[in-house]
This record gives sequence, structure tokens and C-alpha cells, in this order.
Amino acid sequence: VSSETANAAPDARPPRAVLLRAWMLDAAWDAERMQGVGALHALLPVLRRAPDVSAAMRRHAGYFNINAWMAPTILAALAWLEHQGRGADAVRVRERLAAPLSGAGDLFVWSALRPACLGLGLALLVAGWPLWGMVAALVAYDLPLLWLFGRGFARGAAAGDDPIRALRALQPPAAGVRLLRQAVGLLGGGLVGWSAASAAGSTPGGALGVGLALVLGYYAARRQVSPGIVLLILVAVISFARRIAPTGAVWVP
Amino acid sequence: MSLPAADLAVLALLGAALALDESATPSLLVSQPLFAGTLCGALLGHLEAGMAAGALVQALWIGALPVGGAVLPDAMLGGVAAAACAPSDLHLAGTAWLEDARLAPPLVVGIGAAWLGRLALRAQRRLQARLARAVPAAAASGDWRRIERLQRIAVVMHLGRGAACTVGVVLVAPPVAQALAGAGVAAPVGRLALALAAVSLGRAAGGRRRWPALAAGALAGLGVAWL
Repeated sequence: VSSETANAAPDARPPRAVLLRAWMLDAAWDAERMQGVGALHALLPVLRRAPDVSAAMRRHAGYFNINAWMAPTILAALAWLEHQGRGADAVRVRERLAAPLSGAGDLFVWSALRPACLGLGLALLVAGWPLWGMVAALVAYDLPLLWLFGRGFARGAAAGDDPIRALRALQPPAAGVRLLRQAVGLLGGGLVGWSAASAAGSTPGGALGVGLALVLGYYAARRQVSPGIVLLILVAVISFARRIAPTGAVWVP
Repeated sequence: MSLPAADLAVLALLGAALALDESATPSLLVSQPLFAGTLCGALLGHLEAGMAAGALVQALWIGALPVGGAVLPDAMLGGVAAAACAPSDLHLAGTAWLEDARLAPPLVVGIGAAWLGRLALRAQRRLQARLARAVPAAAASGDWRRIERLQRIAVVMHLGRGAACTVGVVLVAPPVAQALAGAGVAAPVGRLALALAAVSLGRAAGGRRRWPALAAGALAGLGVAWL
């Protein structure tokens, strides 16, 4: 990473306003620039103090896409580099790091932590502890991610002269992601086992309904069909069956 | 459904805040239907029914991946709509509520509201794309105030969309659900939705490595149900 002319003190840190603005990164999302407007807005507290405001803004006026929880890490590094007058380095960091950090964030947040926390909330609700389930889901989701948000900003701001190397080390640990996905699997399997056992204990119709939901849901998910569509189909079929079946028919769910 | 103006105002505020959480920020999870339905149910005076309705909508979209440019169904609005028309005498004690066929119309309404909410968000984003065409010119002239204004407009649009959609579905959902119930829509949707959630979670768990965890979970689930 090369240097350009410095226009600020070497120890200067990006203003906190960048962190606060990073919270609203997705607000002005559009299909062409994705979070481009949000990123430009987040960096404005630094860019508008640059010697050449127009050049600084042009550098960050394009496409930008990152997992929103990972955004402060890279935005802090970009703000620090711009603060140091190292615009070209900022562009390089933005181009090289946004995609890998975003991929790691997506895997951790959307594929592991969020389904695990929501599954936990749902499981506790079905088990008869609805409020505890919701509190547990919120705490387990929000605390680590808020920590990641703030910590990422601090680490990004302190990335120093070699931000690409420093920021690559900030990806969520792979072992933690694997563990969370195992937890998601446990919760999913638990719901399958519980659904199957409780349906088997009810009427034949109840068991048939759950069995159909599991099988149709599985094939629909493989073909990227929304579970909402599957449920609408099941509701329509069951409602029709209830209408035409004689009263007390055990095969109707 | 007729509601006092003060209740509608509080619901509008709730909808605005939830829309911001869902679409403008990284999301603290409160805009997920489980929480949105609970909050809406609490405001309408039937907390447990709202919780149950929100949980069922949540079960449908528990594995949704909001990555890249995906515009998913507005599950928050679905949770609010389902909670608004859930049977107010429904209680969560035991698992009998999962068999309650009266939850089918609210869940169908919730799914419809989620798809309508998706259309509203897509329309807003198209408008944002049109406004964002001014970004290169603003950058070229160093007009940073224009970018600030663009961001503020987007935030206000999220707030307005959330408030309007929430009030709209709270008013429209109950008569629609009533009409569906009158047309004979009834099914034990609780168990069906949980089965679909199980499938979504199983797929979210990943590749071949998920099978031991799924098997262990299934055994545990069988054990819990048997006990």
C-alpha cells in the first residue's frame, strides 16, 4: 500500500459520526449502487474536510456492497486513509476488502447466528416459555453483533499502514460459524423430531398434515419456492378436505 | 376494524420504527415477525394471540437470506397483519394452540401482507434509484449537502412506508380474515408452519456436516415429545 501526501496528523482517528452514519448504511439502497449512497454519506464527515472535496467524493460515489454488520470495519479504515490524504489507498482497500468481509459477514450473521437465535426463540415459545425465548433470542443476537459493530470500527480505524493485512484478520472465526450452524441443525432436527412425534400422537389426519408439510417443504426449498406458497397450498387443500369430508373423518388434519 | 386515533398513531410509530430496523439499518431483530407480531398484539390488547400469530409467520421465513440485492417478502408486515386479526381469546398454554384452525385465516392474511409489503419496498427502492442518479453530479461539484439530503429523504420514506403499511394492514386484515373464515379457510397451521420451519433450519445448517446435528436434534425432539 503506497502513500500519498498527508494532510492530517498521523495519529488522527476517524470521527465517531462515521460510526453513527454506518448504522443507516442501507437506508438509500438502490439496485445500481446498492449501499453506495449510504457509504458516501457515512464518509462525508471526513470527505468534506478534504483539500479537494469533489475528488474525494468522486472516489466514493460508486457501487458499494457489504454485510451491514461488517461495514464499520471497512468504513473506519477508509475514513482513516482519507483523513491521512491517502485517497488512492482508500480506493484499493474498498475494492479488495468489501467482498471478502461481506461474504464472511453473510455466512456468520444470515446463515448461522440469525437462524440459530430465531430458532431458539421459536423453540422456547413452543416449549411454553415465550417471553424467555424472545429475550434469549434478542440477547444472543444483538450483544455479539453490537460488539462486532463497535469493535470493527475501532479495529478498522487502527488498521495503520497496511489495512488490507490488518482487516483480513477481522473475519468472524470459522469455528464459531461452524458451531452455530451445528446449533441451527440441532434446532431444525429437534423441530422435525418433535413435530413428527406429536403428530403421530394425534389423529391420523394430523400426522398426514405434518408429513405433507415436511415433504413438500423439503422439495419446495430445494427449488427455491417460498415456504409461504407451500403453506397456502396446504391450507387450501386441508380447507377443501374439511369441507367435503364427513363429520369426524380421522384422515382430515 | 375501528380503532381510536391514539391507537392508530402508536401503531404508525411502531410500524415506522420497525420498517427502519428492517430495511435501513443492520437490524436488531425486533422487526422479525415474532417480535413485530408480539408488539402489535400487545398494543391491540391481545398479547398472546399476537405472539402466536407472529411466531407462525416467523416460522415461514426463519431461513430467509437477505443478502445482496434480494428483496424478500416483508415478514415484519406479515407478522403485524397476522397479529391484528388473530383470535383474541387464543392462549399459549400447552400446545393446543398449534392445532387451532382459527389461526389459518390470520396466517393467510399475513402471507399476503408480506408479499404486498415487498411490492411497497421495491417501489420505494425504484424511487431511490431515480433520486440516486444525481449522485455523480453532486460528487463532481463537491455538493455534499445533496448527499445528506438524499439520505434524509430515504430515511423519511422508510418511516412513511412503515407507518402507512402498518396502519393499512391493521385496518384491512381483520375483515379479510373474517371473510376467509366465512369461506371455510381452516387448518391446523401451527403444526404445518413449524414443520416448514424445521425444513428451513435443516437447510440453513449447511452441507453434509449438518446430518449428525440434524439426527441428534431429531432424537432430542422425539424424546421431548415422548416425555
